[in-house]
Amino acid sequence: MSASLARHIATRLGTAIGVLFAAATLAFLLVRLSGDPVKQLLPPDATAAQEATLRHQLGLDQSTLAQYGDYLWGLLRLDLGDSLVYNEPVSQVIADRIPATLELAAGALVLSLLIAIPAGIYAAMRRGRAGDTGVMTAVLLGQSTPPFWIGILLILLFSVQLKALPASGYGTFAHLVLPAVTLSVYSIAVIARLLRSSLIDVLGSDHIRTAKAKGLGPAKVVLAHGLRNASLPTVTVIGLEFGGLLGGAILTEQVFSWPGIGRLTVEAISHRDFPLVQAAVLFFAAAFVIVNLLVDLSYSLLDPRVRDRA
Amino acid sequence: MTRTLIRNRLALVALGVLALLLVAAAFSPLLAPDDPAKQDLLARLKPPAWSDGGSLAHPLGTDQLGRDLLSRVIYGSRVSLLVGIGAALLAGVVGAAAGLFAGFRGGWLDRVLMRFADIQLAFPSLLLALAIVGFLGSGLWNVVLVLGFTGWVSYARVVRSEVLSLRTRDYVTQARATGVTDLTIMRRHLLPNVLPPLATIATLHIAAAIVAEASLSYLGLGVPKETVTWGSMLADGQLYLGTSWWVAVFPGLALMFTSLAINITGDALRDVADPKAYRR
Amino acid sequence: MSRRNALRLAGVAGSAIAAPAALAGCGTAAGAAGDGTLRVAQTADPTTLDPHKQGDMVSMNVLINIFDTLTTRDVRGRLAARLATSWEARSRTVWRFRLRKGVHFHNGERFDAEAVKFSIERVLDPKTRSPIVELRYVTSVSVVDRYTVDVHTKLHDPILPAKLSLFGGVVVPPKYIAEAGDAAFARRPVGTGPYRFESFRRDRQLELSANRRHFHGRPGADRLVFRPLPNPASALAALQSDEVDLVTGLTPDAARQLSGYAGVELENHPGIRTAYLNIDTSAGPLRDRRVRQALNHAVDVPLLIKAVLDGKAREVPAMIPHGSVGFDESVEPFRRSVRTAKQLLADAGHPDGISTTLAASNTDGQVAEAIAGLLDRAGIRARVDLLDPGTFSARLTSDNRQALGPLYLAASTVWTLDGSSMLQSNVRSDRRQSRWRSKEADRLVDAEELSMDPDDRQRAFTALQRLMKTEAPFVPLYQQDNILARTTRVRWTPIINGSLAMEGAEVKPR
Repeated sequence: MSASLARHIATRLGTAIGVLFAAATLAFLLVRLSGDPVKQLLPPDATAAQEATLRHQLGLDQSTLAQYGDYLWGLLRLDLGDSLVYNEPVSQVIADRIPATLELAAGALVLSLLIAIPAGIYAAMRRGRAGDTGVMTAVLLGQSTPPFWIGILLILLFSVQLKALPASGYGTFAHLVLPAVTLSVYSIAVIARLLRSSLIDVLGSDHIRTAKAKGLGPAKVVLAHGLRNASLPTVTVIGLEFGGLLGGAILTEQVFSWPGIGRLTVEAISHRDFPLVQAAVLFFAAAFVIVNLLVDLSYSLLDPRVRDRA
Repeated sequence: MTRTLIRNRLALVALGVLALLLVAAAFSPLLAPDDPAKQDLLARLKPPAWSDGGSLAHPLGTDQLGRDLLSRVIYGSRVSLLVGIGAALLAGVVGAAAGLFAGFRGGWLDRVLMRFADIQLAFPSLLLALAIVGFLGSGLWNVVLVLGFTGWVSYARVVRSEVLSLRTRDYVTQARATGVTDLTIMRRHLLPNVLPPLATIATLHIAAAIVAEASLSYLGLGVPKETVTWGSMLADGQLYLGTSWWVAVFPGLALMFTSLAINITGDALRDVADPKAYRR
Repeated sequence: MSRRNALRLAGVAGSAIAAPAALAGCGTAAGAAGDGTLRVAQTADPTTLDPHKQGDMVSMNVLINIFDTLTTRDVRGRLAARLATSWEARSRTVWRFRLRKGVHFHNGERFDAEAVKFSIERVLDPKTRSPIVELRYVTSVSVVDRYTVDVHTKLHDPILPAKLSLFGGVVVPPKYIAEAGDAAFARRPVGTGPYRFESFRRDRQLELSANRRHFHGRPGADRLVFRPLPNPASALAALQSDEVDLVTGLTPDAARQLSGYAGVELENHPGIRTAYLNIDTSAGPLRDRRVRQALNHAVDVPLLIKAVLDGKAREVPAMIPHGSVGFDESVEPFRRSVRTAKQLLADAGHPDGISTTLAASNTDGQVAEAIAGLLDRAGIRARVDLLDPGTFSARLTSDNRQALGPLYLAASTVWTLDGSSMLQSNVRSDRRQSRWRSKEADRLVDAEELSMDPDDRQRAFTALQRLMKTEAPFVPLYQQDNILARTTRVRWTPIINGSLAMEGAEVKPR
């Protein structure tokens, strides 16, 4: 039993490392396709000699394969090179932004759960009726709206008109509110929809019918039996949804000038700061992989069937 | 099947909206009162006809370069649908092919393709689209390609799992035994069976791609300016919300309702294709 | 010089660049808006706080408050004394500067001739990897006495004192850098300027505090905070919700969103950022001078200024902006006429017009689109190719001079207030962004860049502007006003070069 669990964990870890390695390679290739960064780092009237010097300093005069080797070796030592724009180690630049992005993602996730779980349960219980349609349409409307647009409208209303909440900046709870609401809208839709359909599935199954037959009220049935059974797929989706949350953070951080990794990445891409882009891409992949690894492991601890299947 | 669809009144309304949209896209030149690119720099930011200072010449007003907003909203439907459908088709073809082969052939091919899917999933697709467009240049087809290639995974997974369950069915094993080639089996027996779930995913993907195009345009990495899109109208209009709300609000509403209608249709399709998920 | 524009911020600078906004955060103790705190928004953070390792306006805007330069511009745009009190050309290749006495760096280190020598040579040292190129003719600096230096140049550099008014003119503390090292210096910069460095958190805010011992006396605000707000719309929102006090570099349309908003005031001041279309004269129909003239007749710059720029710009007749050395009143802009343009096209063998593309950074998208609309009226169908700022600057600085296609929209901040900065990378046929081959123009550029006699320079500039009107290798457009939006608590007069030297800014307590 515990041996199979260990094997399962080892397999998942191996997969995660493989995914990260592939992600690192992809990030490397992506920025190599974009042309010569040296030209953009020097003024237009720089001499060929200046260009050659910089190219050498950046190691861009080596063969692509040698650069790739250096890059991987650096990765092993957690050295991702220096940002071309900031002249600092990219690990430092990224580390500075991690707290803000995590705060935003965590805030949005908590908010999503607080809204999505009641919404999903309510809709499932009123399945097919006006309440269900209303809630699900509202949720779908959120999913159908570009997140930046939601953010802009929130700023107009709460910052410019009501002057109740700051439109940008970072530091206090007040600063977190609008960005977290903006970012949560999409996840609310995904989680609420999934929870609703899993609940409907579960509520139709035999042991729930038995419970109903025993005379338990609908609320009790849902809470006591349905929710527990519907929680597994929901937890999985929350893990997968984390990637979407990070993607949404790119836009949200842009709208609210939030000092996180999303905004950093957009700027790095537009400045062609290739070491920073590589590192940012890796960060997103790593965050996703780690969260899903945790979800997966906790899941297999909770449910022996999963691990045995693996 | 049809009855289930009709029973869902909301889906009917959504289908109506989509029909309208298709008409608008197909007959834009006939419907639009004006050339969507025609500027009138001395008539910038005119309000809609019903507001003070508006006129019937521009029913929804004009934008920051004096272009007719109604015409632009109508023409914008073309690109949004093109991006959405193009991306969904591309992702569908790539994803379905990957799923068919992975599921039917199994073995190393399956492992490699599914590992690819894992890697792809580890990147937020917006990040991937952003990086690719940012480094390789923007443009309508680049956006379609990027949104297509970043969306194939969900198709592949669904098709693969369907194929895995179909593979052992009698008619498939019999066909194999009588020497029918794999390709023929996939085409004749497997593909038709995976089409319904594919259609559902594709519908939802269309809506997601339309929203993603708008997001890329907001970040300045969308389609070129001479192409009228709701996303870029929305992004341009953001600055004018304080004084000229109509520039951003009308394309915003068009985008929202289109995406909503497609999503509702997708849900309805899922109910038809997989009644278990929506037991009544 | 013009490169700045071109550099990586090209696009950003175009329209939005400066839309900074800062928000002082209510939350962080430092940013708390209170008495004497001035919160300024910019589009971005400084790339580095080492003044010799940066070459963009956004970084310079912050650093000009921490450091002083040898020379400066006064509010009327005249070159004025700063750390140098006077200067003169001793010979063709030697400029002598006399320095201010009794000046100290924030750490107590004394400012003297050695510091100037160290600073200029630090810019020139290849190990510094400085992106600053204005000092390219400088060979060495010699200390004459404690408060006098001679700057030696390879060729005569008539505008060296102007070049020392920003970037290359910043003086840094030699002892501190020797002891602490470059990296520590960039983390905690020490200068002689009106504000001292306090703290910097990227993407959040940068804080400075008043240097009470500055040689101009204590500055107008107790604390000066810079906040990066890249998006003009969020900068406006931050100003409206009282999260920042001052937003500069707004586009006219952005500024218009604020008009009539209580507590916010708008000002515009003459600016020096000059926009133009660069034409590839080596290929296609644009090889024909008449076609290029047709472009100039077709782009109705006054209409553009009136309708799209809300009147907040000034027409530039021949590349050199008003208020800079070399501008000649007698050179008139093209007469704007769709008919003349069509006629010229027909004469050149294009009675049905021509098709081309117009590239621009997407931050300049609106102006580019409006220009395409104007060209279209004369039968010149220009497809607008908008690039993100990164791609745009990549192509602008690429060896391939055709990388941006036949036509592109660019702008340069001529911060030296000397026409040569505007022309240096665009005109002489061997320069990186030049797409015009003219022996006559090359000769005139040499004359204006290297002559000692100001009258000779002016004659060369005038001849160059006339030549550019005949040959039409560009479509000169306009110089943008510096538009600033501020809360009513703030008083500040910007300098024409567009830098954010906030020494004179005052903040009233609420």
